[in-house]
Parts: sequence; structure tokens; C-alpha cells
Amino acid sequence: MVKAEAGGEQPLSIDSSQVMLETTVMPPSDDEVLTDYSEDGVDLTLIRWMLALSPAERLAVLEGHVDDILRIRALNADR
Amino acid sequence: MPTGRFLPTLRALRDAGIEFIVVGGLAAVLDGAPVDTFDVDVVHSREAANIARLLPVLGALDAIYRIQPSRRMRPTASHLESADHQNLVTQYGPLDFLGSIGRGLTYIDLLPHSTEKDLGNGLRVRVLNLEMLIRIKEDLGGEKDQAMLPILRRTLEERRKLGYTPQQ
Repeated sequence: MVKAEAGGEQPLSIDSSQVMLETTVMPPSDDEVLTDYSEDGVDLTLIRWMLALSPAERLAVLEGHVDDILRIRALNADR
Repeated sequence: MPTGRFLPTLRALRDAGIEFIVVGGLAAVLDGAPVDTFDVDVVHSREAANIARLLPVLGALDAIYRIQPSRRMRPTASHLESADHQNLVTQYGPLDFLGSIGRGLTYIDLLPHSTEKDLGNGLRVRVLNLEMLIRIKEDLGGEKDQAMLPILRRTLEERRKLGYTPQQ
């Protein structure tokens, strides 16, 4: 049986604030570098954030991005 | 267009017993790469039985060719038996059925380089591993592929560093 009805699947919702990369006990000092990029300019913190999610949660993040982009496009369709 | 476009497509294919491997940007995301994509790319088994199962699913999804949507051209068995790419759009958005990718790699070729991933609610789909995705993009060397490669390579490095299994 093919299930192709709209709304039949419940996508996960992700609370980004709940995804912790590491536990920080002390606040960072003013001169501490708080970014982490690879030599070729890739934001490694973004990769680690994604990796902290399950595959199902990664898919939910993507679906959220796509929906948001399409919504914004539709709102600006006449521009 | 309804929201939640990827899951219902994958669910429909899986529920119908279609043999396929998720590739492209969606495969990269499922392996943890922070990239965006708007379509579902799959390499399907071109066995006659698989295509016979696939055609009614594509009908239920209202799949037509993207190139001239106004003509509402639907894929046939002979299209899906070929090694070519079928660029479709369904009620859930763009969906590409790829008879082969890279330098002629088919479903059978890619099977050992794929892993089943749990997408929740009992849905498990086979996804091309990041290692193979990178190899194919390196081999193709197109501008779009080259642009994505640094993120894919660093994601693979981080996965290895953090000890992730292929299922994670």
C-alpha cells in the first residue's frame, strides 16, 4: 500500500539549544578563540553540531530549512 | 506543496518494497554534512520486478518529468530500465531516479558502499556512504561537485575522529 497522503508523516522538530557540543563550566576568556575552521575554510563546529544529531534529526533540520526557504521565496514572489 | 517532503517520498518507496539507495545531497545530510538540497536523488535497482513495483508508486506520487511540467509526461518502464537520469517532480517536490551515477555505477555496484539508516517511525532506508559519495564527486570533478567536496571531506574526518559507525 502506497502512503502518499500529505501530512501522513510526522517530521521531528529539533530544539537547537538542546544540542550541546561540549560542556563548558567556565565562561571563555576575552582573548580565547571561539571559532574552529579547517584549513580550507569549513566551519567544523557546524559539522559537529550536525553529527550530534541522529540521522532522523538531520533530516528534520534539512526539511525545516527547505520549508523556510520556500516560504520566504513565496512571500517575495512579486519582487 | 505540503511540508515534510523528503520523509513521505522515502516512506512511499520503502512501503512498496522498492530497492533503492539514497545518494547526493540528501545522503550527505544523513551522514551529518551541513549542506542543503531540494531534491531526493536515488539510484534504483533496474531489475524488471523492481520497476514493476515502482511504476504504481510513481503514479500515486503523481510523478511527472520536470523538464516540461505542463506536458505532464510520466516515466515508463523503459525509461526506468535505462542507465539515464529521470528528473521528476512529485506532489512532494523534485525526485530523481538515477539508473547509474559517476562512471556508470549501478545499484548493484553501490550496494556494498551503502548502509541502512533509521529515519524514525520504523522507516529504514539505504544510504550511500560518505566515502563513496566523495569518491564519485572527486571522479566527476564538476564545479558543483568540487564546491561541496571540502564540507564532505571534513565531515568524513570528523565522523572518523569521533568514532561514528556507518549507521549513525
